[in-house]
Amino acid sequence: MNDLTLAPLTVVGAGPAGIMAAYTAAEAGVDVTVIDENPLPGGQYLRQSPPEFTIPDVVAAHSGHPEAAALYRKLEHPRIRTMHNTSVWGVFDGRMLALAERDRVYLHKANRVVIATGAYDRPLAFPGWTLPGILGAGAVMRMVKTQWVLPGKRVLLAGLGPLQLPLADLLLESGVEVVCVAEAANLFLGWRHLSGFWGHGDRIWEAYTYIKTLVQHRVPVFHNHAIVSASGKEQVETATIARLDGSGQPIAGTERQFEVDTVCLGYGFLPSIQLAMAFGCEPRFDENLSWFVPRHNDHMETTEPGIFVAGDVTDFGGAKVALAEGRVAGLAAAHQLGALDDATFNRLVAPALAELRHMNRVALALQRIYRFRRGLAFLASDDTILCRCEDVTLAKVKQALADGAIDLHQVKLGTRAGMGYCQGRCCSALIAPIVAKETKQSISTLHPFTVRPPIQPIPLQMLATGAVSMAVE
Amino acid sequence: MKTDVVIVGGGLIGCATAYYLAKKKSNVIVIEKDAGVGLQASGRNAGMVRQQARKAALPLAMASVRLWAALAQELENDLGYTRTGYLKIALDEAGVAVLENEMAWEHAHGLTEVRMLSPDECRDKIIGLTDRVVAGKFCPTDGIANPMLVTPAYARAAQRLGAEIKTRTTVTGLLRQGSAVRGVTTEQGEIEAEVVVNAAGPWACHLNESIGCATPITPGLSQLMFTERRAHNLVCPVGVLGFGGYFVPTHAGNMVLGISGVPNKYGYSTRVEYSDITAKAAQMLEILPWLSQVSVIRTMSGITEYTPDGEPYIGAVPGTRGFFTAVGFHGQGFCLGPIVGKILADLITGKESSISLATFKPDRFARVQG
Ligand SMILES: Cc1cc2nc3c(=O)[nH]c(=O)nc-3n(C[C@H](O)[C@H](O)[C@H](O)COP(=O)(O)OP(=O)(O)OC[C@H]3O[C@@H](n4cnc5c(N)ncnc54)[C@H](O)[C@@H]3O)c2cc1C
Ligand SMILES: Cc1cc2nc3c(=O)[nH]c(=O)nc-3n(C[C@H](O)[C@H](O)[C@H](O)COP(=O)(O)OP(=O)(O)OC[C@H]3O[C@@H](n4cnc5c(N)ncnc54)[C@H](O)[C@@H]3O)c2cc1C
Repeated sequence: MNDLTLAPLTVVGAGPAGIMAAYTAAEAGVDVTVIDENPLPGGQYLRQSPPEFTIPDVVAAHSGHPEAAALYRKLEHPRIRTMHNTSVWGVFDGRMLALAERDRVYLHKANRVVIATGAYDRPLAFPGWTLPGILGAGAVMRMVKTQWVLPGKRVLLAGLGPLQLPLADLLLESGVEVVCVAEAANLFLGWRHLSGFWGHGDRIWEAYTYIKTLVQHRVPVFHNHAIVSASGKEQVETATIARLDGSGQPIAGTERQFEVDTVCLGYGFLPSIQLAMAFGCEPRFDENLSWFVPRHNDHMETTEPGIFVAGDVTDFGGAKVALAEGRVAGLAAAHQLGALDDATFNRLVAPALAELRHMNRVALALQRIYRFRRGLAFLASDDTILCRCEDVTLAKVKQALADGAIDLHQVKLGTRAGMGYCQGRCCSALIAPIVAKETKQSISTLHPFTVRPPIQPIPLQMLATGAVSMAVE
Repeated sequence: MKTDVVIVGGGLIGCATAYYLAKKKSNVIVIEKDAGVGLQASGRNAGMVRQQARKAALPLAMASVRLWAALAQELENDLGYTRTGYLKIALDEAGVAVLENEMAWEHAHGLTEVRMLSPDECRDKIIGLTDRVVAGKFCPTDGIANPMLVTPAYARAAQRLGAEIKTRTTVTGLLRQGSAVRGVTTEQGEIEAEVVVNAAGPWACHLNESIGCATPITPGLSQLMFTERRAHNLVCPVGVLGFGGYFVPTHAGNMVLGISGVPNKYGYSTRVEYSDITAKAAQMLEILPWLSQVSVIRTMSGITEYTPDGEPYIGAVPGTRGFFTAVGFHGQGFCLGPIVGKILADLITGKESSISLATFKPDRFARVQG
């Protein structure tokens, strides 16, 4: 594992997409390096408990991923070398990946790259959202599944999307009281897209089993409702939801309040596009997500030749889409590297693309039904914090805009929003709609914050290990 | 379109000049190629308002620091300006002589508050500073300000006085009538003016050359690393003689770790180099070992301007009428911005500069080249 070892194919992220891309390319005869920041493979959904947790994994058994073990085993392929506990924190000179592994940094010279970095919980800003006890659904899923920690005793689930159901199910089965589920989608508006489910009986069945659990536990489900505020002294004590109008804005007078000790927010995911942006891949504005994803062609290649994307980083499609995209990306990379001739590639990629199209039908239907509703971007009041790292409120953002800022970058310079620990991963999607509205631009024309190394904070001690010469002259 | 003065470049120099001109009731238009003002070096520098170790520009720096004192009030904007002082240290005996020579120059120009510090005094000031320090030099009236706030504050103050700022507009050439400059051409059309000021920073050369005055500027790359916010012992900026780097505190609690520029290595790019940041990180830990567990959260870079003698070009361009320039500021333009803007406004409105600009004549290399 020295500096500058050239790997024909480098895959970043060992979730379903990354594993499948690596395996497919390895099967085609390509040597692959897989890099993931976690101690074990699996990514978000198939996340494994760390080895020190030896209690039988009843939760995982319940949520039923018999496919998980089979998937991890794919990484045992002789052509695959997996680097765990290693994160990619920058791209230099076009194709040099800067890696951080435990306490040191070094360069890894990449040739073809599959970016399978997944997605993270989308933040939603409303009065009180920064109170302790308000958690992202993905984080809660992770807590319960890998650390065996329950988030609280009385939980309100508020969100947008089909993942609320399995999460509610998981919590109920773990003995938590779920006071209600607030689902922001307007299924009445979404029914047109249901035809996408044709041929996906398994998915409908899965949904049905989740709903059955909710009914058994008498958990009220409010459709077309969103969380609008939360309050509490030391931590969240009450949460208020309200019905939404056609544009997703809460309707005054429809509020309902619940006493809770925990709120799980599941307003979808934002793709981890930072690495793709660092490579210089062009972003595309996704209307359903109302945010940016890396642009890619049918073979999952981005606008940067030889740089591919797969899985949730491209838009939220779920594990099955991630697997299918990984397969396509793995084949395309192997083809570019000369491991597959044109005929073989075409023969192999055709069924992979057909499978992906089949999966994408549901994914797209779900994305449309659960598209991010405009009104949800405007729940904050003036004193609501939008950038948690730098304590920047909505009022400060508006002041910067009144002072003449016209884009995200200028708001950042004027307010420090996005300059903190997370470098705008969280706040940029909260601030962009405000900028767009106040400056009367379409949000699709705003550029997300420029990504500069390091993608994750790096202690100086670690950074220093990358130095070739250590002496002060 | 027609106006009194057109300023090319909405950096600190351009916006400060616009403000002092607008204050004198001139009609001013600032033309900036970017989406906003101060997005180049003026908004991405280390924020040191430093007089110490300046050479020919020391009198300008001292006059500028006097302006900085009341600037936030004048512009009605927080600028994050504080007189923290600035500590320059030497790690060997040869360095001590350099510092003493600098101090003699500084005292001779009236910057009498500068004094030498013993190694112990240096370490009392900056807790945890390396044992290798042999001597220090401290100037209490040096300080820091927030570059992200200053240029926009000048621009807004100028706008309040009637100046116009045209962003996303690139100046492509000069309108001329013999030796007189009559305005500029832009991608969106012509703008006529009595006076044109070229304050386009490292991009300024071709406009000056187009009228026969070569002002050689080589672009260089200066990189900055920003640490996370946390309590720390860096109470003032620290520079290390012969080290190629410096340490600057900010009000927010981040620290700025600066890597001095290298001329022409990377052209006009504002990239960050892996080899530079890792090497400098290692060296910086030898100076301030307690930085080891502090995280770097962001890096960035800006273009510094290199001129053959390290000094800027300031003043009316000889041989022309109605054409002024102020460019080539290397690592001193942030500190000097206010005074240079004020002096240019004076020159343009027919007042002499109170400080001699002889060393900074725009055509000093044009003549050599013939
Ligand atoms: C709460 C929750 C419930 C879900 N429920 C379902 C469900 O019921 N059905 C379903 O189909 N899908 C579900 N999903 C979605 C599923 O998790 C994803 O679709 C799937 O995991 C996407 O796979 P991926 O490979 O694209 O990304 P991920 O699985 O997210 O993997 C990405 C990996 O890349 C790593 N990584 C990212 N950046 C870097 C970097 N710079 N350096 C090194 N490593 C990096 C990450 O740590 C991670 O391990 C759920 C997700 C969540 C969060
Ligand atoms: C990393 C770094 C650290 C520094 N640290 C310090 C410090 O601590 N203290 C200090 O005093 N100085 C420092 N400096 C130097 C200081 O930042 C500069 O000297 C100063 O900002 C120069 O201001 P300016 O207005 O001349 O140039 P710029 O800020 O470069 O402004 C020129 C403007 O002109 C515009 N422009 C160019 N061409 C055209 C055209 N054709 N049409 C329209 N617009 C055009 C550009 O877009 C730009 O906005 C540092 C510089 C860097 C890069």
